Amino acid sequence: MTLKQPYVTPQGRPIVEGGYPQAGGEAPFFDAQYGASSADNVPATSPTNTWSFTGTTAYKHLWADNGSPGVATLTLNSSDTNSWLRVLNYGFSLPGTATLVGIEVDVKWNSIGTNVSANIHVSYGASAATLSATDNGGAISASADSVVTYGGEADLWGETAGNLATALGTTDFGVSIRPSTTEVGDQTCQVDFATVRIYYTITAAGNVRVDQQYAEVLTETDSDVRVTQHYVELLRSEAVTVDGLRYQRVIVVT
Amino acid sequence: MALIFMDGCDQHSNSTDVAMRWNYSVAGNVVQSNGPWSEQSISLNTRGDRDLQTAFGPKKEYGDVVYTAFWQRMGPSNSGRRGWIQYHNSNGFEGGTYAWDGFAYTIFADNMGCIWGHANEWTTAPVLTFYRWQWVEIAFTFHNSAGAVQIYVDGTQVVNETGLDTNRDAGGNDSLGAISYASQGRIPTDNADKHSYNDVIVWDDSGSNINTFPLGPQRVATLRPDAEGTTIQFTPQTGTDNSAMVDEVGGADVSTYNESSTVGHIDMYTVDNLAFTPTTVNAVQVSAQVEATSTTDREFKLKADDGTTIGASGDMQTPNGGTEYWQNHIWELNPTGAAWTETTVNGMEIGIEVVT
Repeated sequence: MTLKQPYVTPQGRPIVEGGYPQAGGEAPFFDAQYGASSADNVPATSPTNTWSFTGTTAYKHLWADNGSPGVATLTLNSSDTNSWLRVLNYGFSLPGTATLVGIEVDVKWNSIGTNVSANIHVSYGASAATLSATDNGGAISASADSVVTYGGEADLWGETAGNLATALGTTDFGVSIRPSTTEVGDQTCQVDFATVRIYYTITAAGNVRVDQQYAEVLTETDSDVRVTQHYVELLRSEAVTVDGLRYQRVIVVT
Repeated sequence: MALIFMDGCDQHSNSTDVAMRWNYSVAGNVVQSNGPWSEQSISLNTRGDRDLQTAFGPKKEYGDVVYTAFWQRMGPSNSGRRGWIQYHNSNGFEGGTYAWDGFAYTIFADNMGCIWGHANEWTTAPVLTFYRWQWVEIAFTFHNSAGAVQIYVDGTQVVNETGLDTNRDAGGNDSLGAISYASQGRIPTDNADKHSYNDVIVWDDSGSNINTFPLGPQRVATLRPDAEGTTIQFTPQTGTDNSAMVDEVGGADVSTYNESSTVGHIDMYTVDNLAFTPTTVNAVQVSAQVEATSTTDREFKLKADDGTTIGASGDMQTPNGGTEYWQNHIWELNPTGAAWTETTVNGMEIGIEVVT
């Protein structure tokens, strides 16, 4: 499955839907190294981004069968408090100007037996061992598997937006799930998938504002005509008589 | 690149405006309507150097030449002030300093052309008249041994020196990136006595246009928006006349504006006609004071339409939100690729486009 691109809801709140964890395009997977009891649906090449089961001794079995009643079946004993099904590496990437405001998790699952509840946290940090402060779990339907939504667009699961935003893009960010163990004895749930949707707000890009605009034109100009002196020359003829001879002479007046 | 910098000094209404346009400007600059052709000028009333400093890039390296030209007007003989032109290398030191002394009547004083470590070598003692605008052009070759300087005043060459060290700094900061236009001396009480500059340009010998020296006297005409252009897509601060929002004098006035957040939006405005008939139009520079209204940077282009082709600058980025800044783009040829003419200038539109 390909991650959906960010889009904006009609309410104007951008969201990113993570869908299934990134696992080479198919989901769900589980990692055989964590004790799959059946290898039927383990990919030939074990994906690195997978379901992982953190239990060591308390889990009963975990398998996949590609459909109802679920892919991964977790059965926990009331004495177990450390085992989780962790769905990791959603590959989110928040825009640089985004502020995380909520995380929503959809889990399709059902329980075997009645009065089975679940614990659900978002988790992050080394080996996804840090569980969110808030457990958003609740009762699981004992009938056919169905999608149940946990958290929401304004729910940060008791964590700070900064911590979660930093963790979102890491391989250790994900969802930790297990059937609760309030009942005596084993409790079993069957999980098809867990999707994560994050909600964030983006600081609105400002306007491009033009306060003034003008053009400057570089032109050649003629030099000044500078007048430093001003005078008149008058050329005229005047007849003079010298020794009985008549001459023309020139007088210049300045 | 050829024409690097141009300021007609007409868009400033006070020292704040001047400081916004120039790279470095101290307080005390004033704007007067005493320029050539009764246009505005910038007058300096402080005695510090580097009063007006323009940076240019890319920086000049050894062997490169940079030209500057400007109209300058001296105060009276008893003012005791000088005009200074200083070249700054990458370390801020002067590569060369030229000053003309207000005490000297009608000629440049001996201390003009005091290229560092060299005696003054005037080819011709230039005529300088107080209270008169004169066109000065300077060619400056930057080099630590093969530097050169040529100076023309009103078309007459008065300095022609070669084989100079025009990089004063001994620290090896061998790039040149700024020129200062300054004054020094007693502070005059009368604005008319202050040393003034107008129509300052800087260019070099690259490119195909405006790459020669000297250019001869130039005049910079400032044309402001006078009506809506072909495309109006920005939102005016008030009313419906976009051109009226951006046509004011004074860079510090940001009370009216046009704005848009939509990529691709364009605003174009027609401009005033030239008030005179130029011999030749050498270039058109479009300037805009642009800001982003949030801390998110935006990009835009300045535009010029010569009636045939709409030209655009490269992408320009607004500074961080809330800060106004001048951005400029020079078209030495019109966007169609021909020389500008009076007709194309009078018919052009200028504008802006939101890029990101």
